[in-house]
Amino acid sequence: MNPSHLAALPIGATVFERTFPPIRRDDLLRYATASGDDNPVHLSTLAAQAAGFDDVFAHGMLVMAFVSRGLDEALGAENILHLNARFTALTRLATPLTCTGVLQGLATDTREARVTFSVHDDREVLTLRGFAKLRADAIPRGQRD
Amino acid sequence: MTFSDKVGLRLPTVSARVDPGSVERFRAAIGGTADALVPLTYLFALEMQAREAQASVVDLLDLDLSRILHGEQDFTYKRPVRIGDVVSFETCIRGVSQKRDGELWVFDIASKALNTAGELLALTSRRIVYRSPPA
Repeated sequence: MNPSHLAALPIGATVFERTFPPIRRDDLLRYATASGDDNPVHLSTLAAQAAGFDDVFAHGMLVMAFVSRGLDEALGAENILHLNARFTALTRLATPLTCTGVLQGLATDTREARVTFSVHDDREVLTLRGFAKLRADAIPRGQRD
Repeated sequence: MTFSDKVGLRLPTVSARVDPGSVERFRAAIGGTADALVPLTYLFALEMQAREAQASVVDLLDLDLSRILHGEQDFTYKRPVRIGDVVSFETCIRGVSQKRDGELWVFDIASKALNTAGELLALTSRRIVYRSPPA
C-alpha cells in the first residue's frame, strides 16, 4: 500500500486546515440566490431583528459548502462517501473562520476513514462540527508527489 | 400548535435538471473551482430550488420561514452527480420532536435523490429547528 494513504496516517493526524475569509453581506445574497434559500434572516437586518436575532448571520449551508470545498481540495470529492455537519452556533459576518479536519479512525472492514472537522470563529466559538467518511486509500494533497 | 402528527408525511416528489448555469452560480457563491462533478452540497440547493414554487416543508406545515434554523445536514453519496443529470427527490418527514413544551420543534427530513433510471444518487437528511411564534 502507498504509505501516504489516509490509512497509513496516525489517528489524530490533521488532514486539512483552512482559514476561510470573513463572510460579507453580499456573499449571503449571492448564496441565497444561487441556492434558493431565501430565508430573510440571512439577508435583512430588520427581518433578523424581528425574528429575535441581533443581525443577519450566515447560512449554515454556506459554511458547510466551504468545509466541503476544503475537503475536496485536500482529499478529492470522489473519495468522500459521507458528509455530516451540525450547526452549533450562528455564524456572524466579518469573522474569519478556521476549519480543522482530523483523522479519527479507520474501519478496516469497509476500508473507510473517518475525519472529524470543526469550524471556529475569531472568538473561538464553535459554529460547525461534523464528520466525513472517506475511502481509506485517499491520498491527502500534502502527501502527494 | 402541534406537529407530532406530521411524522411519516411524504412531500410530493419533485425533479430538477442539473443546469450548467445553476451549478456555475452555486460554485461562484461558495468560491469553488470548475469540476466535472457538482459541489458536494449542491443537491441540497437543487432540491430547494425544485420545491421553490411548490411543495416545501415550509408551505406544507405553514411555517414562518424566518423562525427556521438549520440544525444538521447529512449526505451519503452513492453515485456521482454531473451537469445534465435529471434528479428526482423523494422526501418525507422522518421524525418530529419538541423541546421546551413546544417552544422548539425539530423536524428530521430525509430525501432520496434518484436519477431517471431510478438509481440512488445520494441520501440526504436535514434537521431543522422551528422556534414557535409567541402565542
